[in-house]
Amino acid sequence: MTKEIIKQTILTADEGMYLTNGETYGKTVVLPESANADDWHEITEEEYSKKQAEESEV
Amino acid sequence: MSIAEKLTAIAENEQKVYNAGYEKGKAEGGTGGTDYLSYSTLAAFPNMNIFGKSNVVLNIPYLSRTDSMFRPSTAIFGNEALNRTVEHITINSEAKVNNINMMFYTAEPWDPDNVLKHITLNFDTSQSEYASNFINGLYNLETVDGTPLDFSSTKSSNAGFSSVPKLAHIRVVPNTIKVAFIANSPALSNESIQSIIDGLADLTDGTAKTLTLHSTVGAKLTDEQKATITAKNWTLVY
Repeated sequence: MTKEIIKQTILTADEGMYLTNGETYGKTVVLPESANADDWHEITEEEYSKKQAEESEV
Repeated sequence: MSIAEKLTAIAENEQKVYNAGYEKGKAEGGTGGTDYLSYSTLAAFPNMNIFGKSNVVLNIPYLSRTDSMFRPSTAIFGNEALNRTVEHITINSEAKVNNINMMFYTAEPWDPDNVLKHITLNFDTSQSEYASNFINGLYNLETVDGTPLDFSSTKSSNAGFSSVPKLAHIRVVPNTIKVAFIANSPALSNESIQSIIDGLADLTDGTAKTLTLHSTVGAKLTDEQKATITAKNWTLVY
């Protein structure tokens, strides 16, 4: 028998918001134990759409 | 000439073109890593009439880089007639391609009338240092197959694809993805999702990287799949 304990931190954006670390965007972020949840913050969907439009122009 | 004889003649002709390219490349000192086929690829293969065909096969023995080679706005698919007829393209090469960046990239506005559904890549990507956005924007693309994609040498900040809303089938060599990876298609098959998860390298001795999936795909991952991802020290975003 093997036993493995895996620690995760799950961040879920509030309604109408997105999570981002400045590079990646999503509604849900599942972090491994080594990652820092403070690297992620919420932005509005409007800000997200604007960022997507800017990046598509690159 | 019977149909069987015609098919034999076609196969023999394709083999002649392949051998000619191979011998030419060798004579020019090509080592499989130096020849960069630019946008004159069509001219380089005058015997391979690909117009009017829905299924195109390109044999390019000494292929080293494919970055931007097949972008609809520029290279082979800069021809609108090809965008409207080629449903399946196969690229064969015995070289180890060192760059597949933006290989088929399509900028917005995407073209819903681009009929390309199937890409078969029969070449080794294990030496590809850049592999970002290589199929982005192919609106009707459903399948990428051939040699499973190997990202083990990719050193760009990220790799993968987005804006391929119908992509269902793709295969990745296990434990080769070491940079942030974007697999943003809502249509990925369960096998393809698992292939991508298996493709993630174990980063437990280093810095966590990010795997970005479409929200639809992320929502149907099992707890076991999520555990596998984070156990390898990957951050999952969807």
